[in-house]
Amino acid sequence: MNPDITDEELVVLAQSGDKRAFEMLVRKYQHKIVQLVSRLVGDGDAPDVAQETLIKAWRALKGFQGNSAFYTWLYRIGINTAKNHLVSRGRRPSNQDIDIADAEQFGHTEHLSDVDTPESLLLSDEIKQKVGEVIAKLPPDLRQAIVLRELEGLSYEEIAEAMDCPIGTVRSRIFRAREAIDAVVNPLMS
Amino acid sequence: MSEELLSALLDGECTPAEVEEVLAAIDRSPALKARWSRMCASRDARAGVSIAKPAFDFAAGVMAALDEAPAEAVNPKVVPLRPRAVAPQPVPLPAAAVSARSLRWQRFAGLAVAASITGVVAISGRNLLDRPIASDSAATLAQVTADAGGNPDIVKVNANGEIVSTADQDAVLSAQLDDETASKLTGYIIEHINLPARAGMGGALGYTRIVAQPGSYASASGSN
Repeated sequence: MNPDITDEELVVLAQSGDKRAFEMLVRKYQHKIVQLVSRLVGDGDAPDVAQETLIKAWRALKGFQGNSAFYTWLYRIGINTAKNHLVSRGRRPSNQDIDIADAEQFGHTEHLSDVDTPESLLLSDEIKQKVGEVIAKLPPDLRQAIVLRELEGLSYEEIAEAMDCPIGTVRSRIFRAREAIDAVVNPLMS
Repeated sequence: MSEELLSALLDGECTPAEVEEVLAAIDRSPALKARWSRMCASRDARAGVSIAKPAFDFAAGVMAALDEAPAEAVNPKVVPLRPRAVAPQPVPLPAAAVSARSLRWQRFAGLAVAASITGVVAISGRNLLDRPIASDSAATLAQVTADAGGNPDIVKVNANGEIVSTADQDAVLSAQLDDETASKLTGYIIEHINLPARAGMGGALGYTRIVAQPGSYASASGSN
């Protein structure tokens, strides 16, 4: 399994009208969407445009065919919403079109962050640093499980095979590692 | 257990039943929602996404906006397609039946025009004769004998609007009028038919000419 499976399951539920499932998706992608639209409309309007994007996504969700990843679809809505926002404000949308391929890569490239505020960059860097420190201090079995999952992208089944343990144990180890991570992330986000 | 499932959900490692369990748990627990948000934010931060310290619960704001506009929650453009109710289709009529039905309506149309003309004739005839017309007297009744030339669409009626014959019937009724009255009536009908043409009512003229061919009024003595 992979995170897209999560999206698929949540999308199917949300398409049937389950707002709980949609909220899970909103919480999952809120930072990416805010960052995306802030590139086009600036930080001041980004939260409003991001919210509009997600509301539009909810309204159009039943038309989502699943031909692309959910985030790719959401990304397109975000771009269109941001451009419409600029037009409505009498501003010309940027000529710098964001290629749809960026949707999959978004967040991994340095140039995409060039409009981030110093505060958000600081927080992101701080989270990244703290998480790294926590992972380094984890017991070896937890560390190995979370690294194989987060950095190597292996499935639980593959990790179980690699660590020669049941899948349930993998699930438990990853969860405990995340508990330790959350212990340092929570104060930063609060 | 729910938190462990939440972690598994982030990795796409939940069964559908477990997903439902997580959703039920998260719906009851704001703390669990916040935990999910942090897990996602933590992953995003490591992936290079900038994480803004939330001044408010952004996701809760989105969901509140959705709740405030429930009527707009469903985009009419994306309403799921449902099988359209199939109305029973009429059995196509054979061409001959369609033609017959069309002719039947044409007869009624002709009847309406012929009735109006007959009415005009009757009233005019009453004035010309300057004497009352007994409705039960065939002798005083002006009969429009539209010379249909065998046209089955023409129906002839009397002043009372009663069908007296159809063109496909061979009988042509003669008006029991004197020569002068019959001549005036014929002139009147011709004038009446030509009037729309002078008024520029080309379409009406054509139709009038079709359904009301030049009237032929026979005098009592047998001449027009």
